[in-house]
Amino acid sequence: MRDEELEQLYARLEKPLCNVVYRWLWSMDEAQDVVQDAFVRLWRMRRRVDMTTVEPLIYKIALNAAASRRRLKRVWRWVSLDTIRAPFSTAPPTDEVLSVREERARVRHAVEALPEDLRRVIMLCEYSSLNYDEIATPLSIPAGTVGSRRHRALRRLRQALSEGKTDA
Amino acid sequence: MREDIRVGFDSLTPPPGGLVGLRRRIKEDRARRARGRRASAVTAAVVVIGAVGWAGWRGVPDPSVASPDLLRAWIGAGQLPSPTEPLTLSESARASTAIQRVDLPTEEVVFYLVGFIQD
Repeated sequence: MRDEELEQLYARLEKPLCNVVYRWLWSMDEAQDVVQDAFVRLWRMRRRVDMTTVEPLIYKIALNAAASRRRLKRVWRWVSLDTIRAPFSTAPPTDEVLSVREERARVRHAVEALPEDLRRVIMLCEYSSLNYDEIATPLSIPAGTVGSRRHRALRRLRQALSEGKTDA
Repeated sequence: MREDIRVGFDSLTPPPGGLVGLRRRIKEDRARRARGRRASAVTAAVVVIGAVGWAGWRGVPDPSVASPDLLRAWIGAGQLPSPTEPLTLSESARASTAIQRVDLPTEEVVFYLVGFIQD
Protein backbone atom coordinates (compact mmCIF):
# COMPACT_ATOMS: atom_id res chain seq x y z
CA MET A 1 0.00 0.00 0.00
CA ARG A 2 1.38 3.37 -1.05
CA ASP A 3 1.05 6.63 0.89
CA GLU A 4 -1.42 8.02 -1.66
CA GLU A 5 -3.62 4.94 -1.37
CA LEU A 6 -3.65 5.29 2.41
CA GLU A 7 -4.63 8.96 2.12
CA GLN A 8 -7.40 8.20 -0.37
CA LEU A 9 -8.73 5.52 1.94
CA TYR A 10 -8.64 7.95 4.87
CA ALA A 11 -10.48 10.63 2.89
CA ARG A 12 -13.18 8.12 1.98
CA LEU A 13 -13.59 6.43 5.37
CA GLU A 14 -12.86 9.18 7.89
CA LYS A 15 -16.48 10.22 8.33
CA PRO A 16 -18.11 6.76 8.64
CA LEU A 17 -15.28 5.53 10.87
CA CYS A 18 -15.51 8.60 13.12
CA ASN A 19 -19.26 8.10 13.39
CA VAL A 20 -18.84 4.48 14.46
CA VAL A 21 -16.08 5.24 16.96
CA TYR A 22 -18.05 8.24 18.26
CA ARG A 23 -20.66 5.81 19.67
CA TRP A 24 -17.95 4.40 21.94
CA LEU A 25 -16.37 7.65 23.10
CA TRP A 26 -19.09 10.29 22.59
CA SER A 27 -16.54 12.90 21.56
CA MET A 28 -15.85 13.65 17.90
CA ASP A 29 -12.33 14.93 18.66
CA GLU A 30 -11.46 11.69 20.42
CA ALA A 31 -13.12 9.65 17.69
CA GLN A 32 -10.96 11.37 15.08
CA ASP A 33 -7.89 10.77 17.22
CA VAL A 34 -8.68 7.04 17.43
CA VAL A 35 -9.34 6.83 13.69
CA GLN A 36 -6.01 8.50 12.90
CA ASP A 37 -4.30 6.10 15.30
CA ALA A 38 -5.91 3.20 13.44
CA PHE A 39 -4.57 4.53 10.14
CA VAL A 40 -1.06 4.91 11.57
CA ARG A 41 -1.25 1.23 12.61
CA LEU A 42 -2.46 0.32 9.15
CA TRP A 43 0.43 2.28 7.66
CA ARG A 44 2.89 0.31 9.79
CA MET A 45 1.57 -2.96 8.34
CA ARG A 46 1.19 -1.56 4.80
CA ARG A 47 3.57 -4.10 3.22
CA ARG A 48 1.38 -7.06 4.14
CA VAL A 49 -2.02 -5.42 3.66
CA ASP A 50 -4.36 -6.93 1.09
CA MET A 51 -6.14 -4.03 -0.60
CA THR A 52 -9.23 -6.13 -1.29
CA THR A 53 -9.91 -6.60 2.43
CA VAL A 54 -8.45 -3.38 3.78
CA GLU A 55 -11.83 -1.83 4.61
CA PRO A 56 -13.01 -4.50 7.07
CA LEU A 57 -9.48 -4.50 8.50
CA ILE A 58 -9.45 -0.75 9.25
CA TYR A 59 -12.89 -1.03 10.87
CA LYS A 60 -11.58 -3.85 13.04
CA ILE A 61 -8.51 -1.87 14.12
CA ALA A 62 -10.59 1.23 14.84
CA LEU A 63 -13.25 -0.68 16.80
CA ASN A 64 -10.66 -2.41 18.97
CA ALA A 65 -8.87 0.89 19.58
CA ALA A 66 -12.17 2.56 20.48
CA ALA A 67 -13.11 -0.20 22.94
CA SER A 68 -9.66 -0.01 24.48
CA ARG A 69 -9.80 3.81 24.79
CA ARG A 70 -13.23 3.53 26.35
CA ARG A 71 -11.96 1.13 29.02
CA LEU A 72 -9.10 3.51 29.75
CA LYS A 73 -11.51 6.44 30.02
CA ARG A 74 -13.63 4.54 32.50
CA VAL A 75 -10.60 3.92 34.70
CA TRP A 76 -9.59 7.59 34.55
CA ARG A 77 -13.15 8.71 35.25
CA TRP A 78 -13.12 6.46 38.28
CA VAL A 79 -9.93 7.94 39.69
CA SER A 80 -10.55 11.59 38.72
CA LEU A 81 -12.92 14.19 40.13
CA ASP A 82 -14.42 15.03 36.73
CA THR A 83 -17.48 12.93 37.42
CA ILE A 84 -18.72 15.29 40.12
CA ARG A 85 -18.11 18.49 38.14
CA ALA A 86 -21.20 19.84 36.36
CA PRO A 87 -20.74 21.15 32.81
CA PHE A 88 -20.36 24.94 32.87
CA SER A 89 -22.46 27.19 30.64
CA THR A 90 -23.20 30.92 30.81
CA ALA A 91 -26.28 31.11 28.56
CA PRO A 92 -29.51 29.34 29.50
CA PRO A 93 -30.39 26.75 26.85
CA THR A 94 -33.52 27.22 24.72
CA ASP A 95 -36.37 24.68 24.73
CA GLU A 96 -35.31 23.42 21.33
CA VAL A 97 -31.71 22.90 22.45
CA LEU A 98 -32.95 21.18 25.58
CA SER A 99 -35.19 18.91 23.55
CA VAL A 100 -32.37 17.88 21.20
CA ARG A 101 -30.07 17.33 24.17
CA GLU A 102 -32.65 15.17 25.91
CA GLU A 103 -33.24 13.16 22.77
CA ARG A 104 -29.51 12.63 22.26
CA ALA A 105 -29.09 11.67 25.90
CA ARG A 106 -31.89 9.14 25.57
CA VAL A 107 -30.36 7.58 22.47
CA ARG A 108 -26.91 7.61 24.03
CA HIS A 109 -28.29 5.88 27.11
CA ALA A 110 -29.96 3.26 24.92
CA VAL A 111 -26.78 2.67 22.89
CA GLU A 112 -24.68 2.51 26.07
CA ALA A 113 -26.96 -0.18 27.42
CA LEU A 114 -26.28 -2.40 24.41
CA PRO A 115 -23.78 -5.22 24.92
CA GLU A 116 -20.49 -4.74 23.04
CA ASP A 117 -21.22 -7.44 20.42
CA LEU A 118 -24.60 -5.95 19.50
CA ARG A 119 -23.25 -2.42 19.45
CA ARG A 120 -20.43 -3.34 17.07
CA VAL A 121 -22.87 -4.92 14.65
CA ILE A 122 -25.48 -2.15 14.72
CA MET A 123 -22.92 0.64 14.31
CA LEU A 124 -21.16 -1.07 11.41
CA CYS A 125 -24.53 -1.73 9.78
CA GLU A 126 -25.61 1.89 10.26
CA TYR A 127 -22.49 3.77 9.26
CA SER A 128 -20.13 1.63 7.21
CA SER A 129 -20.78 0.68 3.63
CA LEU A 130 -19.75 -2.90 4.41
CA ASN A 131 -22.12 -5.74 3.58
CA TYR A 132 -22.96 -8.52 6.05
CA ASP A 133 -20.10 -10.71 4.84
CA GLU A 134 -17.60 -7.89 5.23
CA ILE A 135 -18.93 -6.96 8.68
CA ALA A 136 -18.67 -10.61 9.72
CA THR A 137 -14.94 -10.72 8.90
CA PRO A 138 -13.59 -8.18 11.41
CA LEU A 139 -16.01 -9.41 14.08
CA SER A 140 -15.03 -13.07 13.48
CA ILE A 141 -18.65 -14.22 13.32
CA PRO A 142 -20.73 -15.87 10.58
CA ALA A 143 -22.57 -13.52 8.21
CA GLY A 144 -25.91 -14.89 9.42
CA THR A 145 -25.08 -13.83 12.96
CA VAL A 146 -24.64 -10.24 11.75
CA GLY A 147 -28.29 -10.18 10.69
CA SER A 148 -29.58 -11.73 13.90
CA ARG A 149 -27.47 -9.43 16.10
CA ARG A 150 -28.61 -6.39 14.15
CA HIS A 151 -32.21 -7.45 14.67
CA ARG A 152 -31.65 -7.96 18.41
CA ALA A 153 -29.86 -4.62 18.73
CA LEU A 154 -32.67 -2.76 16.99
CA ARG A 155 -35.27 -4.47 19.16
CA ARG A 156 -33.39 -3.49 22.32
CA LEU A 157 -32.95 0.08 21.13
CA ARG A 158 -36.63 0.36 20.28
CA GLN A 159 -37.57 -0.99 23.68
CA ALA A 160 -35.17 1.30 25.55
CA LEU A 161 -36.30 4.37 23.62
CA SER A 162 -40.02 3.67 24.10
CA GLU A 163 -39.44 3.14 27.84
CA GLY A 164 -37.55 6.45 27.96
CA LYS A 165 -40.47 8.25 26.32
CA THR A 166 -42.96 6.69 28.71
CA ASP A 167 -40.84 7.75 31.69
CA ALA A 168 -40.65 11.33 30.36
CA MET B 1 -37.81 2.24 14.15
CA ARG B 2 -35.31 4.46 12.41
CA GLU B 3 -37.53 7.46 13.35
CA ASP B 4 -36.96 6.69 17.03
CA ILE B 5 -33.21 6.86 16.84
CA ARG B 6 -32.72 9.42 14.11
CA VAL B 7 -31.32 12.16 16.38
CA GLY B 8 -28.73 9.97 18.05
CA PHE B 9 -27.78 8.28 14.82
CA ASP B 10 -27.22 11.51 12.93
CA SER B 11 -24.18 11.36 10.75
CA LEU B 12 -21.75 13.77 12.39
CA THR B 13 -18.93 15.52 10.57
CA PRO B 14 -15.41 15.05 11.95
CA PRO B 15 -13.38 18.17 12.86
CA PRO B 16 -11.53 19.70 9.87
CA GLY B 17 -7.87 18.96 9.16
CA GLY B 18 -8.09 15.20 9.54
CA LEU B 19 -5.85 14.36 6.60
CA VAL B 20 -3.25 16.94 7.64
CA GLY B 21 -3.29 15.44 11.13
CA LEU B 22 -2.83 11.95 9.74
CA ARG B 23 0.15 13.05 7.62
CA ARG B 24 1.76 14.69 10.68
CA ARG B 25 1.25 11.55 12.77
CA ILE B 26 2.73 9.29 10.12
CA LYS B 27 5.72 11.61 9.82
CA GLU B 28 6.19 11.55 13.60
CA ASP B 29 5.81 7.77 13.65
CA ARG B 30 8.42 7.41 10.90
CA ALA B 31 10.87 9.59 12.86
CA ARG B 32 10.16 7.73 16.10
CA ARG B 33 10.73 4.34 14.47
CA ALA B 34 13.97 5.55 12.87
CA ARG B 35 15.16 6.75 16.29
CA GLY B 36 14.15 3.37 17.73
CA ARG B 37 16.18 1.49 15.09
CA ARG B 38 19.22 3.67 15.78
CA ALA B 39 18.85 3.12 19.52
CA SER B 40 18.61 -0.66 18.99
CA ALA B 41 21.77 -0.65 16.88
CA VAL B 42 23.63 1.38 19.51
CA THR B 43 22.37 -0.93 22.27
CA ALA B 44 23.49 -4.02 20.35
CA ALA B 45 26.94 -2.49 19.79
CA VAL B 46 27.22 -1.60 23.48
CA VAL B 47 26.24 -5.14 24.47
CA VAL B 48 28.89 -6.70 22.18
CA ILE B 49 31.58 -4.31 23.35
CA GLY B 50 30.53 -4.89 26.93
CA ALA B 51 30.61 -8.69 26.52
CA VAL B 52 34.08 -8.63 24.97
CA GLY B 53 35.30 -6.17 27.58
CA TRP B 54 33.80 -8.21 30.40
CA ALA B 55 35.40 -11.39 29.07
CA GLY B 56 38.76 -9.59 28.77
CA TRP B 57 38.46 -8.15 32.24
CA ARG B 58 37.72 -11.61 33.63
CA GLY B 59 40.83 -12.91 31.84
CA VAL B 60 38.77 -15.49 29.92
CA PRO B 61 38.65 -14.68 26.21
CA ASP B 62 35.40 -15.53 24.44
CA PRO B 63 36.30 -17.50 21.28
CA SER B 64 32.81 -17.01 19.83
CA VAL B 65 33.33 -13.27 19.27
CA ALA B 66 36.99 -13.35 18.19
CA SER B 67 38.56 -13.38 14.72
CA PRO B 68 40.88 -16.32 13.74
CA ASP B 69 43.94 -14.04 14.17
CA LEU B 70 42.88 -13.09 17.66
CA LEU B 71 42.23 -16.75 18.51
CA ARG B 72 45.74 -17.67 17.39
CA ALA B 73 47.16 -14.83 19.46
CA TRP B 74 45.23 -15.99 22.53
CA ILE B 75 46.40 -19.58 22.01
CA GLY B 76 49.96 -18.32 21.54
CA ALA B 77 49.76 -16.27 24.72
CA GLY B 78 48.44 -19.27 26.60
CA GLN B 79 45.10 -17.62 27.33
CA LEU B 80 43.24 -20.32 25.45
CA PRO B 81 44.27 -24.00 25.37
CA SER B 82 45.40 -25.52 22.07
CA PRO B 83 42.71 -27.63 20.48
CA THR B 84 43.23 -31.17 21.65
CA GLU B 85 41.31 -32.82 18.86
CA PRO B 86 41.44 -30.74 15.71
CA LEU B 87 39.35 -33.18 13.72
CA THR B 88 36.28 -34.47 15.49
CA LEU B 89 35.08 -37.98 14.75
CA SER B 90 32.02 -39.70 16.07
CA GLU B 91 32.55 -42.60 18.43
CA SER B 92 31.36 -45.13 15.85
CA ALA B 93 33.63 -43.71 13.13
CA ARG B 94 36.79 -43.84 15.23
CA ALA B 95 37.18 -47.62 14.95
CA SER B 96 37.18 -47.52 11.17
CA THR B 97 38.87 -44.17 10.48
CA ALA B 98 42.53 -43.18 10.53
CA ILE B 99 43.69 -39.57 10.40
CA GLN B 100 47.16 -38.13 10.06
CA ARG B 101 48.11 -34.49 10.00
CA VAL B 102 50.45 -33.55 7.17
CA ASP B 103 53.19 -31.09 8.08
CA LEU B 104 53.05 -28.00 5.88
CA PRO B 105 55.41 -25.01 5.80
CA THR B 106 52.48 -22.68 6.64
CA GLU B 107 50.20 -22.51 9.65
CA GLU B 108 47.43 -20.98 7.55
CA VAL B 109 46.45 -24.35 6.10
CA VAL B 110 45.90 -27.55 8.04
CA PHE B 111 45.90 -30.73 5.96
CA TYR B 112 44.83 -34.18 7.09
CA LEU B 113 45.01 -37.53 5.43
CA VAL B 114 41.85 -39.42 6.25
CA GLY B 115 41.41 -43.08 5.59
CA PHE B 116 38.51 -45.30 6.48
CA ILE B 117 37.62 -48.93 6.16
CA GLN B 118 34.48 -49.62 4.26
CA ASP B 119 32.62 -52.88 4.86
